[in-house]
Amino acid sequence: MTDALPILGQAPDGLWLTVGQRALQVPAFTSHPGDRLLLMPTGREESGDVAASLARVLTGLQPAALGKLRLFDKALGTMAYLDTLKMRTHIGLVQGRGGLLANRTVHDNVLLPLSVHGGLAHEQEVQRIDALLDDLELLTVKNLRPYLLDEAVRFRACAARALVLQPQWLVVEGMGDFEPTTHGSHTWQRMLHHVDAAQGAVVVCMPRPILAFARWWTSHGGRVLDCPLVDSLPAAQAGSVAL
Amino acid sequence: MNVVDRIGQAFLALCRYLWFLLAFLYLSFKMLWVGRHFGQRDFARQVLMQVYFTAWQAVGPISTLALAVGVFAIVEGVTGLGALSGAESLGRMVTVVVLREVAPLLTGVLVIVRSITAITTELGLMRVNREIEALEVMGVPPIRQLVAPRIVGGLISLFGLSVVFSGVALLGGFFIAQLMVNLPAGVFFGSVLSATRPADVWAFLAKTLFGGLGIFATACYHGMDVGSAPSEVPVAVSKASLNAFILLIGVHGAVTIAVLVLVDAASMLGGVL
Repeated sequence: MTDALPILGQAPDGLWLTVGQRALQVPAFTSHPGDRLLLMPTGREESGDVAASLARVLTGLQPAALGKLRLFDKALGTMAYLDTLKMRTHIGLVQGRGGLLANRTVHDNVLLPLSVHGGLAHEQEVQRIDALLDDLELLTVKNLRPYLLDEAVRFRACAARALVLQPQWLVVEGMGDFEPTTHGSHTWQRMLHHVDAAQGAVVVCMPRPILAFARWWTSHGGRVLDCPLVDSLPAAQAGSVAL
Repeated sequence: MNVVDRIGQAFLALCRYLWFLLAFLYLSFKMLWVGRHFGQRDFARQVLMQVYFTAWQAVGPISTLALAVGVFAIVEGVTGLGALSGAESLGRMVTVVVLREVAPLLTGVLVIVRSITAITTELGLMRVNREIEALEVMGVPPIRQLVAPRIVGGLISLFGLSVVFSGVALLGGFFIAQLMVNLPAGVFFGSVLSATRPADVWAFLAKTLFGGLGIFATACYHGMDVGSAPSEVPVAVSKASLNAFILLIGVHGAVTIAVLVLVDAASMLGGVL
């Protein structure tokens, strides 16, 4: 069934990342449209910023220490710079701590990717942004700068910015404003809705094991990949950097 | 390690640093061209914002400084040189001092104090807060989005401020000269015009252009070079402002020497021909 669907993200041999002084193993995966993937680090000791490191690798910002990642059936690191920029318009990243531009309002933050890549008239841009801000309950704060917002609202604003270009590969760091209720949270419901509408896949990078979120995720059609956090990269292959 | 080794190492480090700066500058202008279809409206907005912060907000301080320089130059000239060389030469002295040397240099110093520190801090904090990473993911080239507009806006600002500085200093000099020795406007500005050679204008433009490129590239380079720790930001600001200042002095010295040599060569050729 899935063979007919396009491959959005694929790590055929899995990935290895260095996180702080330890290594994280991501098992092999293939993502098709509609896929909901949760990468959950396992292991008792914490090390470095696991979610951010995972997100950087999965969005192609930095290569994995070992293993190859393909996005939209293209190997990262082999494309020309302009092609990489074009490909990134199909990628969305919701950063755990926002990453919103501090000198712009919420509206202008969401506008930025649209004005650079959208090719829409100004009225259409405003229309699309207002609809998205309304959907994520951000209309009342759209003229505020990010430092005036609390963490949950910043997460929603970051989600709005990531979703404005209707990405097909959405990477989310952490669980943001998730609440352990039936709905999870309005933001998560809307994010999944938007990704499904764009026939995309969503990958959530968890900083540590959070079982309540994993349960909610699986109950909403998602799958969980356990990523063991170990002491070091595999000795036989360490040093041969892929990508 | 002996002294010669240390000097050699320092020299190599300087060459490497200048090479990185040049490469960074090249990349900025290349991205300006390569990314010309990406968000022109936003680019223009960024340039205007830079001009507003660097030039418009500095018009007051730069005018005050220029007025003081013009007044001091004339007061010193009248008390020191005026009796010896005639009142008309005051205009010439102001031209040589202000247009050729002081205007581009003091404007550059003021820009370093106000804007270079601000740019490095802003870019450094953006790096720490992962804003630059966010731009990359969105397919917005950070060099095109953050560096190129700052360099272009900075150059426009530096040139504009240098012109304002020269104008205000000349006017200030004229008013004080009129007060002290009752110098007619025609005589003062006539001597200013006759003292201004094409070489002075070229030197002014070269110092503004190359000095501006150097200091704004230095600011952006150190800002973008910050890692992920907030403690790296003040270190980057300190390095950027000091290096920008040294670079500014170096560019001024090099242009002054080049102008002197070229003027000398031209006059020798003129004599031969």
